[in-house]
Amino acid sequence: MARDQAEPTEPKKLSGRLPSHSYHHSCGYSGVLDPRIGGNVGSKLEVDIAPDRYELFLLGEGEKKVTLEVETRVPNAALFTFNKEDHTLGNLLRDKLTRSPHVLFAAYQVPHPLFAVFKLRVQTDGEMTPKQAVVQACNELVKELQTLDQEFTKEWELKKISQEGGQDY
Amino acid sequence: MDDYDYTNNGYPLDDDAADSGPRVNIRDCRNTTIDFVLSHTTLALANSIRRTILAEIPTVAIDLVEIESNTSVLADEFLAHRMGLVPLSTRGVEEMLYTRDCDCDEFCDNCAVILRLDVANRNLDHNLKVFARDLVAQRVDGQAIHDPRPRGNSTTNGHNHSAPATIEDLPPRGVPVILDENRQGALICQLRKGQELKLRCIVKKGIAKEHAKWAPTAAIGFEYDPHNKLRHTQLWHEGNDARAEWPESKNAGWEEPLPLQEDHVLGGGVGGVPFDYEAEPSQFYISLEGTGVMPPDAVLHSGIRTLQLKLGGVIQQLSNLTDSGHDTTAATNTMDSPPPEMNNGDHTAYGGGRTPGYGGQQTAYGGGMTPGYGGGGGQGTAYGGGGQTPAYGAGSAYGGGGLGGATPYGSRPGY
Repeated sequence: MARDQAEPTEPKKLSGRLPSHSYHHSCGYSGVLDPRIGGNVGSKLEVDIAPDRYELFLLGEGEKKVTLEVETRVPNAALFTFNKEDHTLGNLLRDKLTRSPHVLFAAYQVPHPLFAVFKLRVQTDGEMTPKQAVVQACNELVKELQTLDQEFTKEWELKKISQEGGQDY
Repeated sequence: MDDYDYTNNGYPLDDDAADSGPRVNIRDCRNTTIDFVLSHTTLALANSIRRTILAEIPTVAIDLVEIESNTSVLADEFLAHRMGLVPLSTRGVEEMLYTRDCDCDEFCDNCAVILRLDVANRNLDHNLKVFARDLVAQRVDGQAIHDPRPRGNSTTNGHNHSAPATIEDLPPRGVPVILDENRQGALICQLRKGQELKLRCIVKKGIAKEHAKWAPTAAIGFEYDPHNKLRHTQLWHEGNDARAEWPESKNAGWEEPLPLQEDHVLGGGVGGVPFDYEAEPSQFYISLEGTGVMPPDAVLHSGIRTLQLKLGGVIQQLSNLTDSGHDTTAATNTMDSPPPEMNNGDHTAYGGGRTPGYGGQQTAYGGGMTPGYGGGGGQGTAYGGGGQTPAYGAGSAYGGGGLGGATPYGSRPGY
C-alpha cells in the first residue's frame, strides 16, 4: 500500500564499518512514514526477526572465507577480511603474526559484534608478503596444535595406565 | 609428524627444549571431567582452544520435536526445549552429516536419529516421572537401534567415577547418555493420572554456536598467573594488602612461589623485583567439565581438530588469492602471467597437494581417519574430499553450497 511511495524503507544508519550485507538484520524505524516525524499517513515500526544463529558460522551465498585488500598508502600492508569468524581465529592469528620477525604490524578488529566478521591488518618488512605471513602463521599454528594433540594423547595414555594400576591393588 | 622426537619417548631432554611445543600435565581425570596444566604455549592459543571447545565442537542433540499427544501440564514448546537439552551420545558423530549438507529430502540415517517417547499415566495415583531413559532410539525407517555394548558394561562406568570414560562406554549415536546411579537419566516431566505424552524427536548434528544444547561441556575452568604477577587483573582490597584478603588459588602451588617481601598485587614492586611488563603467561590451568556426551579426552581432541580445520580452511582460501587479493579460481589463468608468488613455491602447497604437509592420505594432519586438508585436485571444497570425513567433505560444512530444500531452520517447533 503506502509502501510504494515510501522510498527509504531500509534504515539509514548504515554507515561506519558495518559490512556491506549488514542491512539484512538491522532493526529499523522508518521515520518517513511516521506523522510525528514528518511522514504522511500511518507509521510502521520495522523490526526484523532475530537473524538465524547459523549465520554465525555458515558462509552466505557466494561469500568467501577470507578476502584480501592491499593497502595502498603503506608498503607491504594488507587488510584481510574474515567472514564468519570471530575472536577465536582473530586473536590467534594476530598473536602468531606479531611473533614473526618479518611482521611489522598485525592487529585485528571485529567491526560490529552482531556480525561474524573480523578484519586483520598485516604489514610486513618486505621479506614476505602479508598473505605469505598469514599462511605461514596458519601453518605454524596447525603444527603447534598437532604437537599439542600428540602430547595430550601421550599424557592421557600414561594417566590411564597409572589409574588402572591404582585400582588393581 | 616426521620430525617428532621419538628418541626420548617424545620428552625433551631438559627444560631448555622449551620451544618443542605445548606441554600437557594431566592432574586429574574422571568419568566426564579432566583437569590439566597446559604449558609452553601462548595465551592466545590456549584461549582459542577454550573457545573452540565451548562453541564449535560438533555434537548431536534433539532439534525437532513432533508432538503427537501432550496432555501433561507442560506446554509443547516448553517440552521441546527440555528435550533439546537431554545429553545424547556423540559416538561416531564424525561420520554423521549435517542435515543441511545431506542430499536427503528431509532427514535420513546419515544425518538424523529418531527418538520416540510414549508414556502415559493410566492409573497411578502418584505422579509418573518421565526420564531420558524412556526415550527409544530408532532409525529413520523405524527400525530399533541396538546397543553394541556388552550387557553390564554399560552400567559400570556410571558408578565408577574415577575411571575416565572411553568412546566404547558410550551408547550408539543419538541415544541418551545416562550417568546417574539409578540409570534414569534426566527428568523430562511428570504425569498425573490420565495424562499422556507421546512424541517423536529428530536428533541432528550441530555446534554450540547455533544453540547451547550442542555444547559438549558444562563448564571449562581456565586460569593463569594465580599470583597475578602479570597484573592482568586488579584484586580489590579493603586494607593495604590484597594478598592478605584474597584466598590463594589452588593452582598457586603449581607456580613459583612469590618472593617473600614483594607485593605484586599492590603494584608497587616495592622491596622486590621490578615489574616485568614484557612477561607473558605460559602456564594455563584448565579444568574441563563435560556433559558426558563424549569422553573428556575426545572433547579436547575434537576441539583441536576443529581449530585445525578452521586454520586449514584459511590456508586453502588464501592460496586461491594472489597477493593483490584476486581470486585465482574465479577466472581462467590464461589472461595474465602466473601470479608472482607462484615462483616462490613455498605457499602454493595447498592448492595442488604437492607437498607432503597437506593433501596425501597418511599425512601429518589427521592420519588415516581424517584426511584433514586434502583436496587433491584443489578445486574441490575447502576441506578436502577425503572419503572418510563426510562432515567436512563434499559440499562442506562451511563451504556454503546453499541451504538445500529442507533445512531444519525453516519451521522448527524446537525453539
